[in-house]
Amino acid sequence: MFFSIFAQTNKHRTLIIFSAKNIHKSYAKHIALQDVSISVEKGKIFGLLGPNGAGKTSLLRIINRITAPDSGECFFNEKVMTADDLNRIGYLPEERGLYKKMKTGEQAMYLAQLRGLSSREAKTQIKIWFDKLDIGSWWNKKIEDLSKGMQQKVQFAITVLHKPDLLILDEPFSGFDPINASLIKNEILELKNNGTSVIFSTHNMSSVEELCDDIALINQSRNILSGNVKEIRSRYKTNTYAIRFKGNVIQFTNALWTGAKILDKQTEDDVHTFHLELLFNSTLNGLLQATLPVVEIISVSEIVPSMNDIFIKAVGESEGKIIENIQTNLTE
Amino acid sequence: MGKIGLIIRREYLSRVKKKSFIVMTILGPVLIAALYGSLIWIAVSEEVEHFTINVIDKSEVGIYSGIVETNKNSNINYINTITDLAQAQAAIGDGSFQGVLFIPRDPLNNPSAITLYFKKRPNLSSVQSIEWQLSDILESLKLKLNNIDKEQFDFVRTDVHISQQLIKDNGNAEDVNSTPYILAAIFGFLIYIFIFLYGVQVLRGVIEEKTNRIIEVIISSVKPFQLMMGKIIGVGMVGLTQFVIWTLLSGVVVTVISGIIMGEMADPEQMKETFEKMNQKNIEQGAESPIDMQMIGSFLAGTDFVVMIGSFLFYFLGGYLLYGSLFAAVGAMVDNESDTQQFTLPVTLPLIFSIAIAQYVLKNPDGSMAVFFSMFPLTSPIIMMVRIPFGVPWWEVILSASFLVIGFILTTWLASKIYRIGILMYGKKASYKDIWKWLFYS
Repeated sequence: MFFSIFAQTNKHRTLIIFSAKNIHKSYAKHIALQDVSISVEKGKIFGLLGPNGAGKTSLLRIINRITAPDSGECFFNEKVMTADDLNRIGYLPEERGLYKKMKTGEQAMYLAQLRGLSSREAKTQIKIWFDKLDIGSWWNKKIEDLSKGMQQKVQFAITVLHKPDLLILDEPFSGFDPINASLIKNEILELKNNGTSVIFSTHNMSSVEELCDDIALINQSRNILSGNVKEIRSRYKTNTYAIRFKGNVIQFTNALWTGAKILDKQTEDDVHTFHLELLFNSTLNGLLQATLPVVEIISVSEIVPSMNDIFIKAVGESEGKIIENIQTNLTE
Repeated sequence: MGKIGLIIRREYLSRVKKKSFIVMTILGPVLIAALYGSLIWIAVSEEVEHFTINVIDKSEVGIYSGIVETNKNSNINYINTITDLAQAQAAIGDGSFQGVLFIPRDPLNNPSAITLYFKKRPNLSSVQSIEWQLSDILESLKLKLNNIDKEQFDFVRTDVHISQQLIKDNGNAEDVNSTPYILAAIFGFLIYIFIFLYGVQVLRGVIEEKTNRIIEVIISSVKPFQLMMGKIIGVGMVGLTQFVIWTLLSGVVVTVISGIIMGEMADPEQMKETFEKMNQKNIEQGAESPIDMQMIGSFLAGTDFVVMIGSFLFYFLGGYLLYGSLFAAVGAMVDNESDTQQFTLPVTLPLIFSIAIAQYVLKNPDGSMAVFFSMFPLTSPIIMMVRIPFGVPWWEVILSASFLVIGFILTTWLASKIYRIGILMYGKKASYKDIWKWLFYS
């Protein structure tokens, strides 16, 4: 009994593998990051989103200690991050490549050893990953003789083969065909299930919905939206439903009365699909009660906004706010 | 092995294993040997001209008979079958002779009127041998006319060659020969070539990492400074390896090839003859011998090779580290090799300047200009190397060496500031203004 309670409290205590607190970074002419904080839970996939030039790459470089922030701090496993922690991180940058003239195996050995593996460990791990990704026969091939997709596979293997606790992937699917993209996606999910945490930066919103547990959305150097993906999506819900039915359209709209606003309607054969936003205090139950007597309802589903919609909306809102701020500043 | 050790190993092995390195390392000494061999071959087997000259002697003192009497050059045959100049000129090549030598009426007072006509240019040594022969004849005629005894004349005529003696610190005097000039030139030039060759390799390596986009992968594991130093040290070790192999192989190959060439002449009698012939030829041509056997002997005896090789290694490494870091910074500033020109010029200028002023330093190795530039770290690797064969006070060497060490620490520090920012700039070339800003980034 005691143990089970203990286990439960332990389970609910979320472990933060990485967090950045109040990061500021500015370059000669522009500000890259202003007061950005993120925290990545252990064993979760954390999406780092934002339009081009928002400051994502700057943040990733700070996490990897490639550049130092002007102020703010990074924590790894809840301790101030040090250079030694880099051996626990695997980083796949967006701008990535390999030595063209070097053999695939040698190159993997070199980069694995730079991440702190002994040459024996490196060799076993490379064999495991090369076999897993079906690239074992490329050991003695020069990188320049591989296709772009093949090179991407080698790069992914190199990023993960030192068994990092935190994996940082910047646009990992670019350059992959759909088959290999799904292969890599499954590998990421398997790593996650084995306890690896992932920071995942991308513009591809459908892969965010598919993979990410939490996100942070960065725009114009600020963190404008962060939290759990499901929570954010429900927060952005607008009480909208899609309802499909057979029957008289006029009777249906009459039955709605003022309880709902029609956003969209489509008709295919004799099946009508309406997108309805519930107004005032209307409920879905009320709507169904009103319409059931007049039409034959086929299906009802809630419309949850996609990450794509949320992205566009949040970015637009934050820019509006910024413009407002500027205007008020001007009038003052 | 530390991370910097891993980087050094990769930089070293990836270059040493390249085909071009292996080819150049083997071919280098072969090329040097081929040069050396062909010099010997040319000296030994220079084509000998045989020709006949028709002499038209208008003088009244019998120059022609003098020429025939004193002719020691078996390659030239003198005749006087045609006595008319125009007729003789027309017959060159058609007749039995290839040239016409015209002696005017009064050659004693007007020697420059002596003219040689030809259709195919004779070689320089043949012309010189005719000139010397005529000078001798005219000289002895003049002596006779003025009633001067030949022996008296020889006694009066005086050539002065000052022999130079250098008094060392320990009071001993030593012969001064031309060895230092050759050594100084060779070592100064070697340093120049090596710094240039391997400095550019560092530059290429940095650009390669930028264009391959591997740089960000690597510096997420190691500090940019470690990567830069690892690269510079690794490439420098390739340079040292090549230098050592070249020195050893050159020795072996030169010995083997001269053995073969000499071996062909089988008996030592003939070999001696060949050397005499070579020296004879040089004397005939009035030029100072390029391959003077005696000089090579004193060259080997009179040189402190430990000091030479030791200081070569020090100044090569010091100069290379200093310039290597500057080349690394240049590589970080640009995005592709064609953009490098603008930035390499300021870096290579002091190197080119050093080699340009080296010849003045050779003339006056202890002058104030030589001393100054052998202290200044950007020029000291070459200039000090040029001065050392002439003997430099030890305190000057120590001062110059410490300046060089301070210099390379300073340039490495500056270069690393430019490097760590430059390597992450893709797709654009930095301006001098940008670089100035980078230097003050924390």
